[in-house]
Amino acid sequence: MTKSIFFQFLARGMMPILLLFSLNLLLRGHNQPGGGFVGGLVASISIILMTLAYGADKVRERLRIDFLRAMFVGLIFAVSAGIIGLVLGVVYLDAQWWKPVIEGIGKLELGTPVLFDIGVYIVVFSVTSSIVMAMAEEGERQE
Amino acid sequence: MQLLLLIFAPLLAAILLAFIPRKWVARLTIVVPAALFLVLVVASHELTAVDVPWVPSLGVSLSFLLDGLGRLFALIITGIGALVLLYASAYFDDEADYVRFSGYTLIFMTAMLGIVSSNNLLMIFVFWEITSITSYLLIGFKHEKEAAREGARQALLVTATGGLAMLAGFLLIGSTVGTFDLRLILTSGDILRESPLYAAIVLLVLAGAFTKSAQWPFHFWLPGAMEAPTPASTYLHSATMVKAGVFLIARLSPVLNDTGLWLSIVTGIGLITFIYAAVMALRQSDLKGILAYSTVSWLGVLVALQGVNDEYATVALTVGILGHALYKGALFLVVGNIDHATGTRHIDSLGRLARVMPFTFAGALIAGLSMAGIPPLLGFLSKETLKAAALIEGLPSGLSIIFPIMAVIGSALTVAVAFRILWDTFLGKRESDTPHPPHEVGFPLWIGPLTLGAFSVALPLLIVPILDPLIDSAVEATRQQPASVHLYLFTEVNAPLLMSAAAIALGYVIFLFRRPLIARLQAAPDFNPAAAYEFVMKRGLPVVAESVTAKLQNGKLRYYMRIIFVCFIAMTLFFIVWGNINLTGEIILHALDWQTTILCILLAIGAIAVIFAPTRLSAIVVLGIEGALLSLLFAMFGAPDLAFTQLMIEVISLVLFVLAFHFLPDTFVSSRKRRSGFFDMMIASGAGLALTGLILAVRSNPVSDSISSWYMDNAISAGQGHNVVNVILVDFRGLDTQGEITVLIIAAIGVTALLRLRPAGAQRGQYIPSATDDDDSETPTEGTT
Repeated sequence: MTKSIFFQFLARGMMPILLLFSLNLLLRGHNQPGGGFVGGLVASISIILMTLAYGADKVRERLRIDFLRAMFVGLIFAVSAGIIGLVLGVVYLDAQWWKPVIEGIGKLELGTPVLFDIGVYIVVFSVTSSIVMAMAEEGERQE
Repeated sequence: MQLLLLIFAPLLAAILLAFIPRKWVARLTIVVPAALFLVLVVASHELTAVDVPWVPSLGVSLSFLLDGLGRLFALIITGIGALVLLYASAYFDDEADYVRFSGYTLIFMTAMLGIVSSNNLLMIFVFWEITSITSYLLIGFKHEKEAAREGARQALLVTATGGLAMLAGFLLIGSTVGTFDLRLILTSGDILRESPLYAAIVLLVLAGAFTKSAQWPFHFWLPGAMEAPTPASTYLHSATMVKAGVFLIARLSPVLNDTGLWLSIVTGIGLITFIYAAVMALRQSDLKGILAYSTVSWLGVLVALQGVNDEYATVALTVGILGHALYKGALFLVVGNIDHATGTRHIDSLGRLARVMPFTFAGALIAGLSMAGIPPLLGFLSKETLKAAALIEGLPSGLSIIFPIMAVIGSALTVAVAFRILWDTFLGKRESDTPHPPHEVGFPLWIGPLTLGAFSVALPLLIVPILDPLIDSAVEATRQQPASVHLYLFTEVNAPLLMSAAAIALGYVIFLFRRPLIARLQAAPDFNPAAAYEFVMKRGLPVVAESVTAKLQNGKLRYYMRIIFVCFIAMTLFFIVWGNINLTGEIILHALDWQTTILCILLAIGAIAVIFAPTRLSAIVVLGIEGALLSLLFAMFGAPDLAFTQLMIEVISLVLFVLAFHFLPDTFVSSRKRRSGFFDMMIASGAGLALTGLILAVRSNPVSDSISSWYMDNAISAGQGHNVVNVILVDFRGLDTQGEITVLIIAAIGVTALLRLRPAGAQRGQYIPSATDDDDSETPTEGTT
């Protein structure tokens, strides 16, 4: 894979912006366009850029995230949202909301759908990243 | 509540096994079933549990009721379970094996208790399948052995297939009676018998019972199951699980029996199994094989008895279940001891073990004599009641002659088998040396057979205080009417007694002439239906599967796309034409504004450009532009979420395509023939037309109370969010999303495995890379739907 310094600089600069943007998408998703799915895709694009710029091996070395495990962490988030619904509510995945008012900040809206969406975000992020990195690694090995 | 705890205690113990130190395993696994046994002994006759709805929409509830019949089974399950687990603590050399065995066995115990105490037909099915699965795990316990895996698979396929047939039968019962509640079903025998579905119900339910209880011609899995460790064979494949089929027939007989169909199938198959398996038992020379076939034979009796609706038959059934569990369980444990002490189970290389293994021999002697029906053991009582049942009045004329004759012949064969086991292993001459020098086994190994033997001796002596009430309540629960027959050890000299004497005498004669007889039998063909199973599994299925796979999965993506699109076109056209669907309804057409018009023209140009693209890279670039334009279209139609997601997917697909270039030639394969190009064009146009038709059909036939308006109305109040799409994804249809992300994970694991596990020498352009490339472009889009 050709390594362009300009592209590497760009990828590095984009990474925090993309990650922050993806978190923004994730958190605002319930009321405005966005959500865990598209947030996860945006986050994985940051990883894709880094992979294209630096190569999969280097990214894997620096990142130290085992995507195959991270997927299951995401799934656990989603399932635990369901189980909270089962325990506190009547049925599995029944939405539960908790809205504490914090002085000076305003009302915080926390609920199991948010937890669920975080799970979706993690799964989509790690699935997409892992597939792209696996493909890229394979390409590097072929060269 | 008490009953729920009783049923699920073994399961809880099995879960606990993972967390406790090894040295406590034996205590926990033995104490739990032993305690349950004691609870059952002192508990009142009928235990009812609360009714916990599980899937109320399907009528499934965790409702339990332990009546006399269930209690008899539960006593056997917990009592023999405790002895078997005690036995296992000394049987396994490897600690890890012992823990694994205990776990499976405890789970099985819960499932078996569930079968005998469920008050809901569908729950019986659920527990039934759990026993099949635990049986599979236990038969395949030594999974490094080919024969064990084969036996496990065979047993699972036969019993699970029967289980599915049984489920179909249960569903028919449920739809006929209108409930799955067993107590209500038991009061609606007339509805069932008069239903046009009666024959189907009987055949389907019996298919489940016959496969589970190893009736001819499905019996062959049980001898194959002897690959299981001996404690498992004792427990599952002799004392409890194989009697689940007998239990099911007993449970449902009050509402299904009393017809010609029932009598001919149940008694017919039962008697065939009885005689066939008794002869086969004589043929075997592996001790476990002998016991397996003799178990099949006795299961045949237990089934045959239920064809007739008579109290004597039910008494014989319940005594037979108890007697058999006690003596056959003991004999299996004895065989395990012999195997342990000598290293062989081959009957011809054993002999004279009585002196070196006195305790084992004592257990074997009682069990063997009980099996042969020698008074005053429980087996005698069981054989006696069988003959009394064979002689009842009111049987059809043919059966009234055949049944008693078969009862005597079958009993005689059983006697011969029992004598053969006792004589040839413990008393007769040993002709060769055994692999290990024989020695007596430890206390946990010989106490089991001796305890079971003690019950065989004691129960007939305690008829009035213990045995008769136990049998009475089981008979009442089975027949759903008060019991009037009582047990006596000895009455005056009557026909059953004479028949028993004749059977013992005949059995002794067969025993004396066993050597030439067995040699003759072993030379004869065995009419084993396992050959049919073998043919299907080894010849039939693989050949069909291979040819279908070779046709459909030939590794060419173009071919896959053709199949998918042709099927899509055919299905769409079929439904539009067959359903006579109106395509020209009131469609409100909006005037296209100039932006949309330009976008549509660009999209069409792009689509044509893709077809004529000279290289892969250019085609992919154009496709990417198409995707971006499409996102723009979505955005203009007021679907920002969809547009955004579509754009992201396009970006990622583009990257994946580029990465996949490493595996593909740069240009398209140029050897495309004109005809195949024309064919592809037809398919592409057809798919376009079909999709257009589909959209027109959807738009012209609006569903009256649209669900989308419900989502719109409830997003804020119920879902607490303003973005309806997101509320649907994470709340209203959260379970779908959870399924989708699980699929994504599976796809990612598949891709990783395919890429990483490729053999080192594999070249580019081979089968595997093209398959992954296909996966990648498909999976991310799935989630958006």
